[in-house]
Amino acid sequence: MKIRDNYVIKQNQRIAKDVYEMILVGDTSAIQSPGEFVNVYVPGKFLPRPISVAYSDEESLCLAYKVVGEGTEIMSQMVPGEVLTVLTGLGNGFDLDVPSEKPVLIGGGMGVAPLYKLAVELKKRKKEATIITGFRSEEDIIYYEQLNQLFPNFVTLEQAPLKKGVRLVTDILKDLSESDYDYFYACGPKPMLKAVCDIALTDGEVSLESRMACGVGQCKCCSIETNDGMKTLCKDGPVLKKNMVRW
Amino acid sequence: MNTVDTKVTLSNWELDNPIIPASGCFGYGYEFMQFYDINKLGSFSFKGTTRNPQKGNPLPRVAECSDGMINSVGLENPGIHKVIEEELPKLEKVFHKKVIANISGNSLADFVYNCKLIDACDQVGIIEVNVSCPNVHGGKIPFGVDSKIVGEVTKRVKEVTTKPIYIKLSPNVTNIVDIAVSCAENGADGIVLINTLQGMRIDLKTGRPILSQTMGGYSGPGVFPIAERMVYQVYENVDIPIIGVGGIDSAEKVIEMMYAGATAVEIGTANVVDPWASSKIVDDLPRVMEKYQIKSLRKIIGGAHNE
Ligand SMILES: Cc1cc2nc3c(=O)[nH]c(=O)nc-3n(C[C@H](O)[C@H](O)[C@H](O)COP(=O)(O)OP(=O)(O)OC[C@H]3O[C@@H](n4cnc5c(N)ncnc54)[C@H](O)[C@@H]3O)c2cc1C
Ligand SMILES: Cc1cc2nc3c(=O)[nH]c(=O)nc-3n(C[C@H](O)[C@H](O)[C@H](O)COP(=O)(O)O)c2cc1C
Ligand code: FES
Repeated sequence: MKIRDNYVIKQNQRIAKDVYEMILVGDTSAIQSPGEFVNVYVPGKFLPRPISVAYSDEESLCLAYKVVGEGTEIMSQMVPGEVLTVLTGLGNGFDLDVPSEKPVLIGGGMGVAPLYKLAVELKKRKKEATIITGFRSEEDIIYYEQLNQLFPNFVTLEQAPLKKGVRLVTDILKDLSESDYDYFYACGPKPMLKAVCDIALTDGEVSLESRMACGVGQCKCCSIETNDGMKTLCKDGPVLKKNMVRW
Repeated sequence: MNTVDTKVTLSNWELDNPIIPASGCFGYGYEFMQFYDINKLGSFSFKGTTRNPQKGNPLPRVAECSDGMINSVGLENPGIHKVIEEELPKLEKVFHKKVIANISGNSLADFVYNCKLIDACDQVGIIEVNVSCPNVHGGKIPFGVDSKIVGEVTKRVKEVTTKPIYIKLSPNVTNIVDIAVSCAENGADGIVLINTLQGMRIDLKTGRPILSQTMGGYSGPGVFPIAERMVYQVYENVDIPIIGVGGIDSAEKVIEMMYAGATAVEIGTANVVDPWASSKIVDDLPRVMEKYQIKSLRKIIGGAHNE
């Protein structure tokens, strides 16, 4: 089920450099699993903006978005009480039914956003997860405390001073052994996802991104070739199993 | 009770209303049952189907414009055989009207082959021949730019079919009237106007084109005046029905397009930005008809041409 409705902005505040967290109040019944996204109809923009659901409950949903262009800029200037049209319940999210007891969650940049809801759901299911998040620099970090409260959260910074700390999420992943994790969930820039798939010792899944239009699998603006034929990232994805992806 | 009459007729096929989701924006139809009962539509035109399966173009395939979008999907489709064996049976279970079959081809032989196969399907009411696709034997120049070639395609598909043949024209031509007249002279039963306009966008962050194919097809509200102008011009020069398409996103624009000369309309991009768009237009049509004191849609077709 998908719902296109008006949502009231309850909160819209800066949480990191150029990154805002928007809480929208409205019907969230279409949102099923972490990793799903919504289409935000930004006033004055023709195409909707696909944004992952960072978190949701019975009455609200939370989006964490980075200002990268005109649409997200307009979003960042909206204030509580204003209304946004949003199409919810989009995409195939992370698979919580895989036989895994201690998954590792790997996020890069804004790719960390959907891991928040994923971590919450995994905690509810009493899994023992490990989280690795990577950002360009300290001012880009999002959801550190929220994630760290749920599971151990290792942060890497690409621009970390060389002596201090590791720079890439894969540096940490490489140090983990097969006894440390039995599955992985990853979201972030494509090169990071590919590196994760190459290095990981287990099966897993990745959340991919592309320019989109309809968000419901009908226009084929987001189709890619996978090992299981042509798939739309908005409907069959954004989350795809590692062995389906052709890099 | 609605007192207005929304019925229209395309080649002896009476439609409950003139609202037809356009090819490429409505899949093979049945997927939209998750949004609303598609039987309320006049009909719909399914995704452009080629002889062999096509994977389409690499991403990115879409760029935004202030009043529309540019796509370079590249006719991704499962091929005519799969459409007949898998998609149409799925559609038949939920859709109880006839469908418009949008047929593409990379050669004259493909058009003939595809039309012959689809002509045998009972579910198909009209065959819509998309001549905007590149002709691989003609230097990849689209069929649709040359009135002689379009005429030839029309004649050849007419020879192998029994259902009405509507030719869907490309607006990327110097004289749309010549091409439409050539279709009519070669036996076309109707004309569909327009396909997308060629366009492009450049990403200011990289200074490079956004689309992997550099150029794509522009559609959406921004093309409406061009589509309407072409429908108006063609109406004056042919006697066969015209389906108007391009930028329609409201019942008002449906009526406007019909005054220009369209017997029915197709809705494309509006469905892409709102899956319920065509349903909303069907619902709103009687209200707008009443507002403008239109009792019967049939009576306004080409009304703008009256002295
Ligand atoms: C499934 C999915 C989930 C996403 N989740 C998030 C998220 O949680 N947080 C976040 O900050 N970003 C997310 N993104 C990226 C986000 O969609 C873009 O940053 C946003 O659309 C940019 O809009 P803009 O108007 O600011 O940029 P502009 O460049 O002005 O946008 C122009 C057009 O290009 C599209 N576009 C531009 N960049 C991207 C991109 N990277 N991905 C997809 N479309 C793009 C826009 O949607 C719009 O149609 C996600 C993308 C996808 C596909
Ligand atoms: C994503 C997309 C895919 C399309 N695919 C096809 C197609 O397969 N065959 C075709 O004849 N037209 C195709 N079109 C063109 C539309 O059917 C329509 O002619 C055009 O978009 C103009 O109408 P609109 O402004 O209402 O979208 C496509 C358009 C879009 C936006
Ligand atoms: S955005 Fe339309 S199919 Fe994915």
